Amino acid sequence: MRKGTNPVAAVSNPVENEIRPAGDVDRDIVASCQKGDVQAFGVLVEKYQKKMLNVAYRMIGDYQEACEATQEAFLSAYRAIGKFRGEAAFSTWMTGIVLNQARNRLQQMKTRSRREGVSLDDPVETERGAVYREAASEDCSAAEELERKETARMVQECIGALEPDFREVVVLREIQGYSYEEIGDILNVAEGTVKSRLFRAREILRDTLKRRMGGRG
Amino acid sequence: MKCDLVQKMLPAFLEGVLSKTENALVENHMSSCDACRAAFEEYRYTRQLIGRLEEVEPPPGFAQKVMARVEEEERKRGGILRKLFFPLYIKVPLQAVAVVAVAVLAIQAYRAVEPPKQTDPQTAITATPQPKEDSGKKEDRRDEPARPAKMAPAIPVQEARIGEGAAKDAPASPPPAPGPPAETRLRKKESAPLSETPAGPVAAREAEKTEASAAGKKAEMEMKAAAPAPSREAASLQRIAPIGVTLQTEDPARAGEKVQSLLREVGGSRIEVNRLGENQIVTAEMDPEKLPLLLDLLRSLGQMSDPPRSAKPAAPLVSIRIEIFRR
Repeated sequence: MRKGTNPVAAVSNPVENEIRPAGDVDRDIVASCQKGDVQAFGVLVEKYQKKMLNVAYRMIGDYQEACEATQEAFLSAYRAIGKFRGEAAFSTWMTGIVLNQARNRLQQMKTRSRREGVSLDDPVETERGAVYREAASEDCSAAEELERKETARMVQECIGALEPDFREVVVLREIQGYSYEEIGDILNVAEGTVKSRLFRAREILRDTLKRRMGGRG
Repeated sequence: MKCDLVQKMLPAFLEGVLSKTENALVENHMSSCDACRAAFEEYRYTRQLIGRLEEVEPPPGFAQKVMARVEEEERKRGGILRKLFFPLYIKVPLQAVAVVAVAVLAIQAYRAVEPPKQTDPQTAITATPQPKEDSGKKEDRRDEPARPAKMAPAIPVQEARIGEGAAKDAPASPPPAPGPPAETRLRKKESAPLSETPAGPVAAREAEKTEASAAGKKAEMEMKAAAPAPSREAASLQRIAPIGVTLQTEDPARAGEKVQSLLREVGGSRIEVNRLGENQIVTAEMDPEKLPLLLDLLRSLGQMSDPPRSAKPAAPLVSIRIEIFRR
């Protein structure tokens, strides 16, 4: 049974040192939630709202949709908290729910965009709000800022262009810093599958970014 | 080492999860392979770009919004639970209250109904015109004071309490002591229709009728006397069954006083007098040995009906009930 973070791996891996699922830390709060303490769940929401929103955002690529998906995910988690057995950390379990919500949301968006069609003039939702595709400003700092945003948008688009299975492993490993073991837990796949998906996803991402970025790098 | 193998190891090399040997192999290869070094730079740049992605912040009030939805969910859930168990919340206390209320009402009803049964007032009226029946009756003497007051409110009832038992008994209300034995109550009920018979010729006819049954009762008493030594309870029962005597005289009031005086002379106790108009009923307890003497003395006061002849009572005390009428 895969449980929590491998402490040896966490020491040797700098990425894993950044985020360490706090299964033991949340156990008492989760227990309170399971006894019907709504306020205890509020503590978990406060604690993980940003992390979960980022997972959703990197998966969906739309801030507003990501916020809604995260809300739904927390609500689903609250409904299902009684079934949570603590075999993995709460954040691991919660991330799995967010990913499910993100997948559903992506499916809905796909259906919607097919029906309505998307214009290039439509605003692009980013973490800083709606940004319209517009020409670069003459101002130098503004231009740099715009370029930075554009790069970020492009990277996000490249991530978004990945197949969902590859996107998930990239988001979980490269952005959220989960261990292979935890990713396996979240996605309910073997660690070897995680590694192979990750390798393939990195290759695709490298090629896509190389193509999109051109001579920028 | 082949390039494709090295390039497969490059992401792991970047993450620093390769062994020292593998690390050394990859580093050696890259130092002499431009393609693999370029691929490594691309991986590193890709990772750099991804790593530069800024984290998004939740919108203001995001957690509150989530919690508002959670609380709404909780209310709904609570509402469903309440709907499911609402009847129980109401029904259980209601049923409990209803049970208690029924129990209280039942007790009250029992208390309200029980006293009239204990002191069947009709027997009080019976006592006056049916002197011969008294010998067969086994009534609780303590109930007697209440009877005239309840059943014959038109007749002024005046009770004189004489003797040691008087202080215990209340005149208007029956005592809280347990009612008479079942046998006594039954007999009272049986005698109830007779009790409504007015005095006079009809009463005389009824008296004749009852004489026949008196013989049976006499035999019953004899059997009781012949029986082995009665238990305490049986002795008590016998003690409270009065021997009835009817005395007809010109002046019942004066005769009553004399009767009381005679009872005291023969050592009578618990002497009580009930006045029904000008008629009187005197009850007392006395030594059965002195009963013949008392009866002789009573004959001197007026025309007296003979008490039922019976064997010598086994009880240490005998109750006597003397009813005095104007001739």
